[in-house]
Amino acid sequence: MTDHVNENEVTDGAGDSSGKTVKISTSRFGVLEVSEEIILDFPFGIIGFEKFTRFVILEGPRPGPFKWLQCVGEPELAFVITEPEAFFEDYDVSVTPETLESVKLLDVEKGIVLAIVTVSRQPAGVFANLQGPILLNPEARIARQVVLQVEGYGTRHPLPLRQETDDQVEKDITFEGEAC
Amino acid sequence: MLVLTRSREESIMIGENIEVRVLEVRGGRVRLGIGAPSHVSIYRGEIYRAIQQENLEAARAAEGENTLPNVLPSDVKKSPDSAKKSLPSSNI
Repeated sequence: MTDHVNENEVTDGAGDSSGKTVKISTSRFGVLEVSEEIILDFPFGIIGFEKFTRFVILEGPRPGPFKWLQCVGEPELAFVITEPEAFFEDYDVSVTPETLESVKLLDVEKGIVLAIVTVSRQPAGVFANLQGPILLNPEARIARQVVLQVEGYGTRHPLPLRQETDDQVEKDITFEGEAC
Repeated sequence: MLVLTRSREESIMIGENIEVRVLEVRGGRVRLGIGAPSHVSIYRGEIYRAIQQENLEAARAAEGENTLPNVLPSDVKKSPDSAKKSLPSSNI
């Protein structure tokens, strides 16, 4: 691990060790001041939203499987995302070397796979898009929505869920919290 | 839409870098070979549109929502990657 202590580092704002902070406007959470180092570059945007190329992942107040993928620059645009392997053990993302290269990954195992979630009222349910996962290089902070060519993964997989209660959070499940 | 007739082993160029070649025509199906720079994304049209549609739906369903689904996996299958790798993120 690198040594975070560096007297010459210019910090701006919160005074944490993660360098400069930037303010981003969101329609849901107001203006947030976040570390510049969490901004993700989506050079290809998200399919259907190609012109938006910068996003941040926001964690809710309680640890859980869902997070926000908030657009930087378009306050109203945000997706609910999750890590599909928590729900689908055998979920396998295989991509071409060119796709890996486009997010500067040498090995898919070094990446983090995320799925966009649709919380639908009619029909009611929580669905994950397993055919178009997001492949994130957490070190370079480059991400891309990829399109899987294999059979068996669709855009709308119901997530196997149970209702959350405080007890269950304590006893049955521990999700690692945020990194920053 | 531009319409061109091509035979087996003939191709078309799209710009200077993209070539689409007809490899085989059989039984109402056409096999195409596509040569394009690696930064060009190539998708089957219906799959691309399905993903686009679902993205639009996901964004629309999240409009005006500021809370995440209050549910958990029915059975935790696998510890998520972010438990092992550093997920760049921030608290709200």
